[in-house]
Amino acid sequence: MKNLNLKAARAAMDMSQQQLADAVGVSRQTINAIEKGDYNPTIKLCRAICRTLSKTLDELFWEEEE
Amino acid sequence: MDESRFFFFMGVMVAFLVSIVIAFATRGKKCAAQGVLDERQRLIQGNAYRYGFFTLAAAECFYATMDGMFELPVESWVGNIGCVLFGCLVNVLYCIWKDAYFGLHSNKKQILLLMIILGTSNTLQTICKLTDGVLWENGQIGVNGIFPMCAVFFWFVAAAVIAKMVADKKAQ
Repeated sequence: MKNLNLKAARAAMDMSQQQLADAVGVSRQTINAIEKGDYNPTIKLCRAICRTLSKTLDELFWEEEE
Repeated sequence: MDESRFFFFMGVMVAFLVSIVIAFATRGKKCAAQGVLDERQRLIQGNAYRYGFFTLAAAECFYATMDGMFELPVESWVGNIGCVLFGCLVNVLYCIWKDAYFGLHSNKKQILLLMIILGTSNTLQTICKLTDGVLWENGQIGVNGIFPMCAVFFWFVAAAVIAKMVADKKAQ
């Protein structure tokens, strides 16, 4: 499932995938894979992304059940 | 063991030892950091090694069967090296296509250039061996058959790197 929360938070901070990737120390393709839902990041990477985007884990990675 | 085989195996041994020395000497240094992979890339590389190994095993089984059933125009050990190269090729191509071959700070163009140089030198060697008529020994492809196999290997890798660079540019 696509992670639209992450994409929206990144766009809100006016960051490109490459800038976010550089900030958290991964490749651009890894950020792309997370946004597309092709890769489940470790909790360590999730926390790094949350810190960079000033968001909580819930805001970026929690999926509300329908 | 004739001279060419002796030098081939000596070359393999020297390359193996030199790679170990370089790996130890560059541990933790800036040049080693260029090859650092992120968590997704390490995961992909794990899969790539698996696929490479399965491919190698399947290729060896196929080759051994063919070698047993027919008289192939290639020396057994050269055919085995071909199988190893095929397994390596699957590993490398999978990593390249899944963005797990290059480290975070690797210079892709530099590596591409290296692949092109290696592909070209092996192609030239192949042409030289063909014109000298030493690619075949006693009706079989001998030690010099390594050159065309390596040429194909490096050209495939170079083509994959270029294709991936083009695909990435389109995706961006």
